Amino acid sequence: MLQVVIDGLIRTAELSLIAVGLTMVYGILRFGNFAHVEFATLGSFLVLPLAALGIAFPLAALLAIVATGLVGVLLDRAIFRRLRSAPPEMLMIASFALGIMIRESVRAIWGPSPYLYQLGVLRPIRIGDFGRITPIQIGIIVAAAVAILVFHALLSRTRLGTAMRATADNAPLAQASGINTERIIATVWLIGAGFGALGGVLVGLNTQVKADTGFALIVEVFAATILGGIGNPYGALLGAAIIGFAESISLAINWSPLLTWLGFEVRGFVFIPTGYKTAIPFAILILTLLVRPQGILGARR
Amino acid sequence: MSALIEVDTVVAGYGENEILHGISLSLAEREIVTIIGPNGAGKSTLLKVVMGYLIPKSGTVRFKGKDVTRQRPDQRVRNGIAYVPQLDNVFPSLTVAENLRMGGYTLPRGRVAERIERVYAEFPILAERRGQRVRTLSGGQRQLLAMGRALMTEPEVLLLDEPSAALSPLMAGEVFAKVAEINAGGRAILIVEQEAARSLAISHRGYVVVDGHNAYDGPARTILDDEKVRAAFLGGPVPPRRPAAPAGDGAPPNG
Repeated sequence: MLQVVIDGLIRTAELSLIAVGLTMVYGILRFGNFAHVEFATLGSFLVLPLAALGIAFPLAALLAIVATGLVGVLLDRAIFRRLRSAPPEMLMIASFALGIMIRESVRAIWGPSPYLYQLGVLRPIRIGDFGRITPIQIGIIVAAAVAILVFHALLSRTRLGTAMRATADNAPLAQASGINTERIIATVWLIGAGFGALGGVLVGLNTQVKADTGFALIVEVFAATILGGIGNPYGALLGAAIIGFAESISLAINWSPLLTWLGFEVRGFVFIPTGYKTAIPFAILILTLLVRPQGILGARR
Repeated sequence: MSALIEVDTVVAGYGENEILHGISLSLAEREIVTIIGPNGAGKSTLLKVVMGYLIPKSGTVRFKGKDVTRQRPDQRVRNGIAYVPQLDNVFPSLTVAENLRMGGYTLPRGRVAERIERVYAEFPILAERRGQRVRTLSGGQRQLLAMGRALMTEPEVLLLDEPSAALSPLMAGEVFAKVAEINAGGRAILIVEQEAARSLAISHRGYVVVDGHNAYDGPARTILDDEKVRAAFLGGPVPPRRPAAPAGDGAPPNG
């Protein structure tokens, strides 16, 4: 039981950090950035050369996150800024191409086989008879929680955060208030890509560092974003929590009573194979689009 | 009298679609000027050029004698121009107080709270609603908030795009009374209006814009009293056009 909660929390941590950036960029530029999940991949890989230089892991991770954030700003300048007045479909296609470029560049540089962060062996902590948690897993949850709290404080308490919300609400009016909206857009890319990178580092910590880390999460991240209400950062957090726990719970459940009740003949326990995990966010995504396309916290347009 | 804003033979539009074909206008200190004209004449476009959302293909915009034609809107705000768009003129997911704080974005940090209090004093209804999200405000309250937001910077020039659109006559009257009050405080105001009569009633001068050209300008009283202008632009059938006031742009072919 506890294991389900821990798995759900970790999944939520990873997904929410990546989804927040996706939803913020959408909130301001109004397009779904398919390349966004690749910031997770890029961030997780950029840690490797830094750690190889002997930089302590937390510092290496922080540097990789900042570097990825800057890559986000540069890519916006180089590509998306030229397409500001283009229709959203064009931006989406551009982002799709960019995603392939980032993913395959990572594969070309680091090769196809996965890496592990060298953190030494850490003893898992037993929590009663219910389950165990590793110090790394605690670190993942704490890092994500701290990042989200800092982000919330920025968004709700600071002048910059209010200007970010104002620009997402109404960019021309933000400009008429004297806000340099291009600078706000750059800040959103910096934070969004940086958070994506942190999400990728956390995935790397929990499992491996792979060239398709981000791409493997694309359905989960988009589902979380749309479920919560695309454009709303708090919605992305909520969506990530729902998707994260839906995955961990439905993988842990024995489905045989339900199937028997539905009239199927089943023997023994029935579990969803891990390989079908992606079906869960996909189902939630389709259900959301059918029932409440604006998402849980999304405003009707 | 020195002009605060001078628009000089501006040609502008969106892509291939040219909307303003060489339009000129001036706004003096402490003046209220109303731009009237039929739908689609380019009134709002003209205001967007003055604010900097649209860079003209030719012609200049000067503010206090300085050429600002290529400045971004946020730079013009810093120089003392403020703009209230017709639609979407507030931040709906922000609170009333946050909207005003955004209006004061360019102010030094220490002055924002003081300015907000001044706006509250001027618009008491906003003080009552300060913690509320703007989504929950009525149309009239939003229009007052939009003006309050624009006044945060104590602009020398206030640009209003159809401030009475979609308001009840009662509320529109309240808005125009407020505009006159703001002007009495020393600010020049440039208004674009469909509801021309009420706006002209508080204005010093007026411009009539037709098909992206200057069609007529003069004291607001004259426009209100002039039978021909009244008939042509303030409702009533449009009479066949006589060779009108000398226009610098050649006679338009249609009536």
